[in-house]
Amino acid sequence: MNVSRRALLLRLLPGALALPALAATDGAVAQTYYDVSGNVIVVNPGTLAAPVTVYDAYRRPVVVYPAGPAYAPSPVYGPAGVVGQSRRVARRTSRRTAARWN
Amino acid sequence: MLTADTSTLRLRHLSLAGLVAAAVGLSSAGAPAQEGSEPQAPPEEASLIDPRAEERLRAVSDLLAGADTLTFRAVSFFDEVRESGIQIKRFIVHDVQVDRPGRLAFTSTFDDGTVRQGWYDGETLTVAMPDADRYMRIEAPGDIDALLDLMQQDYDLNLPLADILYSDVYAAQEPYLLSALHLGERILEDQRLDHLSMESTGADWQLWLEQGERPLPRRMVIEFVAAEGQPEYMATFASWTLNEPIDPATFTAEIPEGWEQVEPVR
Repeated sequence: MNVSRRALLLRLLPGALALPALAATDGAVAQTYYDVSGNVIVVNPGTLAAPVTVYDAYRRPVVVYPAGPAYAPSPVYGPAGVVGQSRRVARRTSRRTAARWN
Repeated sequence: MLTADTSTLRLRHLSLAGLVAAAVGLSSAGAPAQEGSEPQAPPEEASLIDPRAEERLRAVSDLLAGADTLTFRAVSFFDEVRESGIQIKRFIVHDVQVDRPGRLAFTSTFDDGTVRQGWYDGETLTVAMPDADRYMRIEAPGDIDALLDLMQQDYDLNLPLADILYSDVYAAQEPYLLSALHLGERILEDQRLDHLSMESTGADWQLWLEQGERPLPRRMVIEFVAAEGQPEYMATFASWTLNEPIDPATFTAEIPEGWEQVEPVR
């Protein structure tokens, strides 16, 4: 894994600082993200042919959509439901216990 | 007068009984066995699924499953979390028609004036975007359950109120259900409702159900606790109809000539 000191520094900075807008192309703004290994990459929605999943400075997945109205970013019809969201996130344990039921 | 939160009291009572049983078991373990004494059973672990909440959830599930057709309007608010972290409340109205097992139609009207219309005929989901003169088609042979699974697993599309469109609402939720509690009785617009609170692996959610033999959902709140900003979705249901005939043309996609077909986001 090749993670630069800059990349590591960026991860420690607030998101607004860590993801500076670099350039504008055809109305779309290129931004810095990270690949799954932590390498810095620049994604320009104006040149994308299909949505891609990259990672922000906190290693949270981010889907970047191609510019243009053909791709309508979700939520198209409002947020996912309980089942849909449960399928997309890791399991957790209940915060309720018999001792503190409410 | 509203009913007391008896389930809470009962469960607390069970917990106390469990503690007493545990204490008895501990003290007897260190003492010589007494002649004729019964062995102490280990304290029963209290379930986090309140039986009364489970009963109500199964009741609404059975009610909706038993309806060949159903229609409803849901007036919904949801939080849109901006990059700044500030949450913006958005507004959307869903009109949904279901003809089990394999036909679904909906019209969703956003607060920005845009409209999304959808038709599913057991083979294909067609979604129209009239403001852009565009539409998309997704092959999804099967039934509504199969469509919902496909949309939630493979596509970045969320069908309106998908949780209550499943043919067996309880079975769809059960694998993810962590806890359920009947909070008590509430009054909404002069109607007495059962108020339930659930935790699922992906979200906390609440339901307000009509009391009696037709426990129709009147309100649903989902809090996406795993998502950044923990946005909330709140739907108020109105205009429920069950087992009323629906014009078959309702489920036929109407795409004007000249509209551009676009690919759905996977």
